[in-house]
Amino acid sequence: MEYLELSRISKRFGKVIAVDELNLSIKRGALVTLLGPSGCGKTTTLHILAGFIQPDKGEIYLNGQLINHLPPHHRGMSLVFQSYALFPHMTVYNNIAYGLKIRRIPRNEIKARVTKIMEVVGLQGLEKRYPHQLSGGQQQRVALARALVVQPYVLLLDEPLSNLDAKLRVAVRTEIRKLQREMNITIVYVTHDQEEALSISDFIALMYQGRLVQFGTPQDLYYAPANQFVADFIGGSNFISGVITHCTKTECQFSVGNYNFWGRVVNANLHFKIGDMVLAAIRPDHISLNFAQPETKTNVLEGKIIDTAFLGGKTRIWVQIVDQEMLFIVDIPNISTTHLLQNQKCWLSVQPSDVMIIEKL
Amino acid sequence: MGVLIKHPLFSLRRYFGIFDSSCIITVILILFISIFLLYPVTKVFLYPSMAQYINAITRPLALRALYNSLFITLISTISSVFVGFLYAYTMNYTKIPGKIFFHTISILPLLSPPFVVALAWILLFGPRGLITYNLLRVRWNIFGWHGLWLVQTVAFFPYAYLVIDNVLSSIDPTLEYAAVNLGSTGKQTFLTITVPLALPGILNAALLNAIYILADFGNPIVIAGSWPVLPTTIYGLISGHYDVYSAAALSTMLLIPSIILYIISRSALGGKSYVTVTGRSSGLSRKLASPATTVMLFIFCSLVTFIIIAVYGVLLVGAFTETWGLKWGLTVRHWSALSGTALQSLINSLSCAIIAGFGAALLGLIGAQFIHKRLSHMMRFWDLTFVLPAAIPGVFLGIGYLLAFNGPPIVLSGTLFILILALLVWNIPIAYQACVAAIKQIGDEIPCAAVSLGASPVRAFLSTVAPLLRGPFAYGFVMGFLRAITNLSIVIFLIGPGRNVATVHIMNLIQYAEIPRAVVLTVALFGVAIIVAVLGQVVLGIPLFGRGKARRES
Repeated sequence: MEYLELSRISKRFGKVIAVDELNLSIKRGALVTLLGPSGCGKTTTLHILAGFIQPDKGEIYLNGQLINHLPPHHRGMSLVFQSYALFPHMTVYNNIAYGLKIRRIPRNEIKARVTKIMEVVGLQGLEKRYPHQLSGGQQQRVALARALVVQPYVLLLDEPLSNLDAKLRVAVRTEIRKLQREMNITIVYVTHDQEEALSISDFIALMYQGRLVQFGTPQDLYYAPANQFVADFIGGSNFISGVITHCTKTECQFSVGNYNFWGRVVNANLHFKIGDMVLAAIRPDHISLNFAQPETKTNVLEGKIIDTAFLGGKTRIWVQIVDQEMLFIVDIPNISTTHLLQNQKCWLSVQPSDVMIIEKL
Repeated sequence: MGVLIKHPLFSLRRYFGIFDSSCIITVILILFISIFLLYPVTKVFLYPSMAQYINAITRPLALRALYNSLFITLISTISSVFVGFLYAYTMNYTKIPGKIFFHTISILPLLSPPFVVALAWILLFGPRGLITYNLLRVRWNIFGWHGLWLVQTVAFFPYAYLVIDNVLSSIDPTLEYAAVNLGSTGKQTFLTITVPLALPGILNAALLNAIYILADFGNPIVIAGSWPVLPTTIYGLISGHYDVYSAAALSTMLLIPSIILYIISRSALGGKSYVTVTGRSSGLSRKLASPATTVMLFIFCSLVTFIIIAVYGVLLVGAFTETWGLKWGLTVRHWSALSGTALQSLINSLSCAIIAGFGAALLGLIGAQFIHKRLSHMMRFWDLTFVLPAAIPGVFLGIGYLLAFNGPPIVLSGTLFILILALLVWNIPIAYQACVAAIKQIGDEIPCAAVSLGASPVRAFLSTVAPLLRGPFAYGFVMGFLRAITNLSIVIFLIGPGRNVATVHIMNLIQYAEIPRAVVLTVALFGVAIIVAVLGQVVLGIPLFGRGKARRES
């Protein structure tokens, strides 16, 4: 049994099923992200862990001990709220010291620990400020310090970066990751931002409509998505469906109209036979754009450019496929000399290993 | 409002080429306030000479009244705020059945004349009281400060309840969850988070209640007997001794603490609110009190509610009882009292209150448009004069009008007009503050957006600002009406022969021990007030006394 175990957790609010038979195993010292669109049950799961909400069914084990019955103030799971929930009537120092004072820790030890943690998160000199006198980033640090200083068994973060601007978000998430590695903290991190999840997590638990859709490393979810939802939510994908014409253990050939593809079977549990309808996903940045017809006909699509958008590091192109009702999104590195024209004829080619066969239809 | 300043609303310049009508309106408002507020107020200040001031204030009776006033204000404020807090806490932190019922009952004292609770108290505990005479067969002397304390607690806790309810309901529940998450128990959370966060609101409620209680005239005149407080002493000086100089001097003594309390509540606590409006909600519902606490709070609120029901129930029964305390047969014969001068006084009350309430709302609305926006130093002074009446004890304003309009240049005494004007001026702050809050909430951008979309400034005002001011206006009208029709402390100085109003008539009946007739007239007056309040809710579609929206505007 792992450090933190959720076993068949379910919770409904009236007719809405918020969490449905959720199983999760979290290693000590790992950073696990609960990722999903809004309303998928990730925050409810966090509140169940914190003890704010009682699950209808299921068990939670911490260090092998059942903690369902423990009241929130005895759980030792510090939560950083999305709104930070800083106490507006207390100074920064008193906010951070709050949990220690409640635990009746001696005054000088409180002082030492608060000073230490304020150094760690970079808040020196702001002890006497009130929350409303701080910037968004500073408030975020206070919330983090307040949760960390009580040395929780598990740190729970509820969309901690959503109130920061884009640049600060990247900086702070790097800091959180660094802090987590240095202090070896177990973190459960809720976010709806897939990029954030990919960059920060040891493991991602992708949730949809209260259910766990896939659990794995960021690479697992990116390169071996369990289904269309995962492939679309993580990284985004172009989807094609076709009929199997040839099969080995790890690779399959399938046809989509007049086009032929070799693709990689991402899940060893999936077995296909000739004639099966399958769904494959192709990442926009795994496609190369050609203006001359390639020699091979396999893994090539013919189309014309509909629209382009300059995205800074790359250029996004929308391509209408010839003979198929399909619109492909292609991301290519910027080539200043290339002038992309509307209605320009082009060919899209992709490596067999980048055609991810994910589902039987 | 930048747009509207640049394009004055009713710009007469277009028609006459010279005058700017917003300027004219501002001047008219300033003239009105100068004549009907500042003039009477200064008149009271300047009426007694320095020697007369010293003479009046150093009299033993005056000193005792001052001491008693401060004493009763202190203890009644504490008790009424305490009850109000527990009541509000129950409404926000428990899931008890019948919350709407509890809320509605607690509103009743706000709708009734100030001495109603005192009158019911006499029927229950007086010499012929239901409990003292009929049940316990004891003779308590309920006249004095103990009775007054209890009566004022019941009469004024709803004000504190409404203010604190508003504050508690806007405390972000995540803060309490955060505390629990960091290891604090329910009790620790209550003491370290909930109470400190509500404290500014509680103090504000206390200051406002202290102003009401300090100025309270109706309850002490009925229940305090020979225990003098400032308002009743001032009245006694005028009605008994015609000593207007001493009365004016003591009125000033009454005004000073009231103004101090008001300034503290506006300045010291004005900006110190912890009520934060964060866009994102955590989706967590409020953490409720423990079951044991809930049961205790439920019992407490039931008790308070029972007392209020007893107060009004006793009055209702009293209006139909043969002889209270002796013959309990039902009768409608007392209702014959509702004729002649009594009926006329009720009609006078109703018409005065409607005109005064409407006028106060209108002036508050126009004032908010034309006075509040001009943020020059001069205009800040006039802005203050629009909220000042809220801090003036009724007795002071009554004497001010009595002194100011009794002789040239303006003679109004003895007419209903003087009553209407005094009540109107007294109630301006309600609509004014509600409208100012609404205008601030609307902000500059919305009318500007309408103008940028091609609406004329007048059209922009009518289509964006005006609909949002309908609520505060209606609120100002109904509250002003209720305060006017139930007022005793101002009108008692201003009624003329044959120009009586119901509250004064009732008080005279009580003083002549005509209790059944007083009760009948009180029930009738209360009925009229309730009908208007209910009409206000139904016709204007504004939940004036619901928990939520409307109270924020006040």
